[in-house]
Amino acid sequence: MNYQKLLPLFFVMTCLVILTACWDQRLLRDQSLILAIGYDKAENNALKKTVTFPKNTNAGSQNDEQNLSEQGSNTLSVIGNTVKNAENKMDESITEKFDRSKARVIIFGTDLAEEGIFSTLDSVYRDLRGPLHANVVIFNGEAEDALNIKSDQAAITSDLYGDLLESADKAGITKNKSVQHACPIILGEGKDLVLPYLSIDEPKDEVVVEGVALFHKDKMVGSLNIYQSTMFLLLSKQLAKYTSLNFEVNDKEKDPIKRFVDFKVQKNKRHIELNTDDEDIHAKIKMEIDIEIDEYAANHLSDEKKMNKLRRKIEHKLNELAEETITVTQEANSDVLGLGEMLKAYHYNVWEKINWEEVYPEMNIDVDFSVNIIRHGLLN
Amino acid sequence: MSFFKKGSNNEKNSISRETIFPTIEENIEYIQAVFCQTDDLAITETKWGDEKGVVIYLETMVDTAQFQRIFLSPVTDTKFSEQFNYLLASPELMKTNQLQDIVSEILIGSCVIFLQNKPVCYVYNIVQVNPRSPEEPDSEKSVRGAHKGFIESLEVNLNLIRERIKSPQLKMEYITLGTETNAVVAIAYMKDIANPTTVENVRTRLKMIKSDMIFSPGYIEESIEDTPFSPFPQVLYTERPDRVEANLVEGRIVIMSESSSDAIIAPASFFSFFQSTDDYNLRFWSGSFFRLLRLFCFWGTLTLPALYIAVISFHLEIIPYDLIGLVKTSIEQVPFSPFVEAVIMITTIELIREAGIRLPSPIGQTIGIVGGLIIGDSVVNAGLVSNVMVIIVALTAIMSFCIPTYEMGNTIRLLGLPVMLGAASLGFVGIVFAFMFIFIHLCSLESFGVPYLSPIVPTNLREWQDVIIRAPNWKRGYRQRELHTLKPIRASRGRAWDQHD
Amino acid sequence: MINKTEISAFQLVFLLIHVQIGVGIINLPYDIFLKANSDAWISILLSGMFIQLIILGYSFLIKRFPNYTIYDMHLTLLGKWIGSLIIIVYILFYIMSGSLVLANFVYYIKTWLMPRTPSWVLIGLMGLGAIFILKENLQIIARFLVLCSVFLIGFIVAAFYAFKFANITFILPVGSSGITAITKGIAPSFLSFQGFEMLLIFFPFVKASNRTIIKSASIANLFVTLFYTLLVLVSLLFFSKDELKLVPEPVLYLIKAFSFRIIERPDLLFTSMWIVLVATSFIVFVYGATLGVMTLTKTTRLNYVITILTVICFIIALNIKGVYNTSNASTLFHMYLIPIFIFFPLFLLVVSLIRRKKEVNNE
Repeated sequence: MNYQKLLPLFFVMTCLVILTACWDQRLLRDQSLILAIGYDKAENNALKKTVTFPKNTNAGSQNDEQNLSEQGSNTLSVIGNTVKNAENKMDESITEKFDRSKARVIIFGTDLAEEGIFSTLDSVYRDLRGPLHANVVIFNGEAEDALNIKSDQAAITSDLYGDLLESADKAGITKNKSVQHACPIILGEGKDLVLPYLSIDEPKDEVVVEGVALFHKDKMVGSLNIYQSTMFLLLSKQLAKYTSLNFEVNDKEKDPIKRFVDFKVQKNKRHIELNTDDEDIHAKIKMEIDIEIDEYAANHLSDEKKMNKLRRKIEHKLNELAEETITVTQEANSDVLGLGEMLKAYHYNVWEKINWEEVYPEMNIDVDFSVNIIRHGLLN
Repeated sequence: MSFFKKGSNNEKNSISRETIFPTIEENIEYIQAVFCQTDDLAITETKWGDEKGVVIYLETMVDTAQFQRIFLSPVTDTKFSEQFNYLLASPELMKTNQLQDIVSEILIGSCVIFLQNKPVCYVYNIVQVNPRSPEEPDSEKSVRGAHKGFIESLEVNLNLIRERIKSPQLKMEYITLGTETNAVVAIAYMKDIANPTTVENVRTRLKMIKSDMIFSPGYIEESIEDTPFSPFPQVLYTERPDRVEANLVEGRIVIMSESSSDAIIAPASFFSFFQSTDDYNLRFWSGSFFRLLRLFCFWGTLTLPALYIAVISFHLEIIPYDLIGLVKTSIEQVPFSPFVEAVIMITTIELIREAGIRLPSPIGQTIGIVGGLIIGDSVVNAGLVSNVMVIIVALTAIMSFCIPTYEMGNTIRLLGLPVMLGAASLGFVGIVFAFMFIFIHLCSLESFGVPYLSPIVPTNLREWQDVIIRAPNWKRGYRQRELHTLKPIRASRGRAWDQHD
Repeated sequence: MINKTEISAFQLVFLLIHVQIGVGIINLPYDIFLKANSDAWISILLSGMFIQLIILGYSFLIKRFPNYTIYDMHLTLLGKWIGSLIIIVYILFYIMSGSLVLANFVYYIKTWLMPRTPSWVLIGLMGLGAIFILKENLQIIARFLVLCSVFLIGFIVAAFYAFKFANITFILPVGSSGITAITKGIAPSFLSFQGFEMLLIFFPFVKASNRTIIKSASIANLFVTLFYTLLVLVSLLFFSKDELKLVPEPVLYLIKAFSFRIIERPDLLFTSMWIVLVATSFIVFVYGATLGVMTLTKTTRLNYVITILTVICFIIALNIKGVYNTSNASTLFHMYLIPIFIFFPLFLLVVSLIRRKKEVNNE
């Protein structure tokens, strides 16, 4: 009589046993993992998709170390009308099935980025297995070339880019943006996207970071160089672990090394004032940063006067760089600091009246740095 | 030993007569008939003073030395009347005239003395006991604390309990079970603590047992537990007197049977299977840590292989980028599906365990080495099973052995299979459904009226301190609520001197 | 009657929480956002308060009939015919609720986790699970629901974690969408509270005073309101307006955006956890219908009633396919809400006041 209670359980079990290995199963064994994807513009408005995937090592047993050294990646390029169309074509050319859910970087060629990246990324957002965490980068040139690079630094191309981006992020040169994090910025009002900007250093055939690419909506409109992008990160309060800057402060010094100062930014505070009282809107950005001197061959920081002098020089240089950076973004009409967003949140009435896209390139943005030297290493 | 008085149910030799026959010869004849002329039935004729008498006993049951020393020599050598008074004063002597009693007494190792022309006979218990010494049980070792264990003698076992609980409220009840074997089963509980309804419940269920023999405590367990088809054990076994003591005082009921070194503790809740006596001898922090570790082991054993299967066959996007290459190379060449792979490995481990468990320990170790090292290594080298799977399955086995009760460990290892099946057919969804079924079942389980998952559900936050962690003894002021004990509050304010500052 | 086992007030809280928090939580912020824009969270708070008022209203009924379920009340107060008719409405309502839960469940599981697994397998497993627990008593159902609350904690933790990526400017300035939009947002949020009215079915089983029962219901309501507000708020802060329009299941999508060292895609885990929350509300809905059927037919064969009701839900759910179909069914279902929430109980109260009828105590 009690057996009755067990019947439904047995039923479920039997069903499961019979149906095992059905429907949604995707064995890791049978998937070729795409680890980096590149998109380029092809002729006739078509899309060229390039992928890299690790070489399938058929060396029999798995635990010998040879495999690791033999590792490398294959690259494959296909042209299609849409991303998915290209992907389907790709599946025809390889024995295993492609799986892009583990992609680490998605690279856009500049041509395509200038036309807009959002529609290309649509399939990533829509796919339940889309690589939302992949970092999006812009490549100065063709993404296909970027993925075909042979480097000694890493066996797998995706590792090369992944590690490069990570270290650049830590050094405060760029800010990594995953596909997901890019989305609210592209779709949101009053803030524009920046993405890491890479290129190939021709003579050495190595990938280098150029700075960041500026966007307006989802179209690339310009770029900042490394110094400017560091400044941009400071201004946008995205302080990295090791943000460091280098300025020429003593231009009369004979010893070239003594002309410069190197410092690390330890802490930065930002205060933005949006003045909307007059007809024209202008913004005042007050920055307070704490720095630590890393290298200053001119020495003699024990004297408070000299230290203040150095401090003012640094402040001056910072202001100059900030102005330069903001001018570039204004020229590109890329509101990377999100001033529009702030205007909308705190001065909604004003925001409703104006067309931000016209206001931003014209508006006045003043930056005022105040520097506080908190440490200068072991030496004075 | 008056408790063995309960009549035997030996019905096939029953003769309508109940009281003893008037003559010795008739009695001997009757007894020989009842015992089917068995060869170990000794009938010794003696003279008791002036009276002729006969002593009947089972050679194989009585202690011959004792028989000689305290029984025959004084009786035959000195004057009968003195000696008889001496005998009467001895607690082992008993008078009876019931034939049924005589038969059952002989069966448990008494000798029966018939005197010519007396309407009663004397029964003297000199059973030969050859117990082993109460050593620490192999299945429940502890580092600190008492190292005594129960043995295969009910008397010794009860003695061990009485030794620990010196209270008149400790009550033992004897019930004879087994239509053929007439084994005595003892129920022990604290009269002033244990819930009378639960006691009555246990008693009724025990009395209801209709079985020809009580071969092992498993017989009793199966007959009295609430849900016999549940994979989960609903009573707790122990061979440790200290554990029995703790549970008796907590208000639980202990059932022990003759010739078995296991005590059954009821009602048991899920979490009692994760407690070990050692916990209470450790510092608060380490005791709590090990409790948590065991609960983690429970989860690990159930989920680890299933999660791995689900991940590599359904949800590979969940594997971190840095790991995926590693995992992929490991399973690239394996010809089986992950589920089959896991089943192969799990069967292997179970085989090694099963083979090693009954072999003498030197051979057992060899099996462990051959099985574990050699098979494990070659199976990976041959590419039949991936090395990640070997790691996972081995880890699972180790985790299941961390659970201090053997029964619960087995249950969980076994339940891992349906969870894996769910994982292999529907991925995470399958795991969730498998868990849903398991937990619905756990919620509905009750052991003698005590919800199995208490105190988690029904929730009693105060008691979590003794199931999730191990709170210091002086913090635990209450007995488990779901036991509905007569004394819900324990005496436990040990650190009164420390309270005011 | 069904075997009358008693649950504690503590368990009632979880019963009510779990019946309300179910299939809807993953798309709730989206639904309200469509109507109330960036002030969706205010709509949720408002409807929570509104529900609280209704619960206080229920307390009058509870006081008058401390041992009657709402079904018994209908039968006693309105007579056999009208009472039975209304009970049938209730039963249909709960069957519909259950079926919609199943249909939505399958739809979301197929979009998020298992695109190719056939619907009947998923619904069937859910149904079997429901039968498996419903044949036990209310006490055990309550225990299971309390146990499942672990998953709620999971969602709360995830929501708080998401504040790390919050952009406060997305909801500023507060009230920018206007009062009309906020009021419009109350309608979809009202739907998400569906289940609190089951208080009137379960209160006679609770071993506590009427005051405590109302208090428990209020606690449950407070929790649900805050939980919903948290989810809505966090979705609004995480997604920009235009993005939220594109993301119909923002809660899962935002969890999908997280990434940890060990688990790169936590949304898979959360979708699995969500299944349990779906199961709990489905179980309670079917139980509500079961109690109705048993009051109506006076049968004691619990197992048959449960099996039949679950199979009906199974069949209905299999026939609701696709987004648009589901939303049509939901619209149909909305028309039920107001009568069940407010009208019927109010009517009962008025009738009992007019006829001065109270529960016969010696029953």
